[in-house]
Amino acid sequence: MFLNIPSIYMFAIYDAYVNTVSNNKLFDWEQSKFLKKNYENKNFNMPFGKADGSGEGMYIVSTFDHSNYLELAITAIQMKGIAKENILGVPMDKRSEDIKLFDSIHSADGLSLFDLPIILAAVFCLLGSIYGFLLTWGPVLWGIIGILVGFSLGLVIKLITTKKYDNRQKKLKATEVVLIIDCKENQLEMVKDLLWEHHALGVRKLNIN
Amino acid sequence: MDRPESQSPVRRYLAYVGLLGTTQLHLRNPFMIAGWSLAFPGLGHLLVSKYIRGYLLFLWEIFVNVNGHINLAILYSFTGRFQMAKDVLDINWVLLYIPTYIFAAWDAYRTTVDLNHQYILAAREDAEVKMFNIGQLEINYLDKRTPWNSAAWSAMMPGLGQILIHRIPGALFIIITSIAVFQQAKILPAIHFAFLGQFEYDKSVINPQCS
Repeated sequence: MFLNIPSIYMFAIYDAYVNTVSNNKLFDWEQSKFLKKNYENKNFNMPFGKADGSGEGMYIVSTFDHSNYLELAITAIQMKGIAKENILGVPMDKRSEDIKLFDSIHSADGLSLFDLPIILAAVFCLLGSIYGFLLTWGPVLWGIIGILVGFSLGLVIKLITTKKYDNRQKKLKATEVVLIIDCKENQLEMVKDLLWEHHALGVRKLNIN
Repeated sequence: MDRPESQSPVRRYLAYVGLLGTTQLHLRNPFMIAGWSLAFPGLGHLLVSKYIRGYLLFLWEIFVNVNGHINLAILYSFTGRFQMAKDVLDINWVLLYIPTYIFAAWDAYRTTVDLNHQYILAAREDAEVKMFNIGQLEINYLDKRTPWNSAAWSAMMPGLGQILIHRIPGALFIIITSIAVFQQAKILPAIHFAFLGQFEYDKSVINPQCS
């Protein structure tokens, strides 16, 4: 059974990794769908062009990543008496994902940095544990050496071949959601505090002269 | 949509948040999935959440491999002991091994291409997915985890990363099989002796094949 260990062990790591990535993407997708449906209300008064005074007057702009904290922040603000239609949540389209999504059936997740290293790690680990029976250090150490060599080799190859995508990876780190709250002046500090407490990336009151 | 009603206009949907885990369609590289099935039949199917097929192929591989002494034959062949390889193979089993092995890889490839097409159709349809499920035995909802975190847990004990992301059918199977294989192979004592530098003892304790 010893020879089966490299593939089973490496599989457990790979499966955990890639499914975490896809679950995260599913979460982002579902939450942005939810925001589009519920928090892009046509009654929201954009701060420009409407002089009928129907809005509350103060605008707070904040940015978030997709997470449950975002929904906690929105609901906490609603609990404080700010109407749902005065909250605008705009999930941003991401630059690479939509383009990459329908690219072709062969490019799986756009950024499969993990794939080649883990395959080479499994193969080299297997070879290491086979030839380790003939070498002084034995199959275990040669198997582990195989993992390290295979993984590094795969990572180096992958990094060299995907170097041209470096810029794209940096853009992936962009803000995911912009949240705008329309509130009264006396609610300003309370709303700001709530946003910061719920891990907003940035918060600012809008000043329009 | 948890599971759309029969009257629902929804035809395909991207994900199902069930009590035992989140099953979802997404684009995957068919060669990658087929590659895992070559590493061990059934692993590719587990990756695309086709658990029952994966279990079947996996257990069948172990059963035939152990009875046919495939692993020993591989070990002897790779180390140049060809006559020993020929002698150790059990001709009562070997012929069953090859078609199963090839089928697992081919079927993993074919399934992935099909599922990619289903994904594209479901993504174009863009139906809603119900993100929360609570029941008597479990609670599951969409959430985010750090990928390296789950990878690291599974590196320390295979299956823990799958528990972290609530992928119970995978976690259960990986934990049971990896414990069984580790015990049969005597890998833990082997690691112990290897790190103590007792290499001769190390080689003799390892069991390349169930006896």
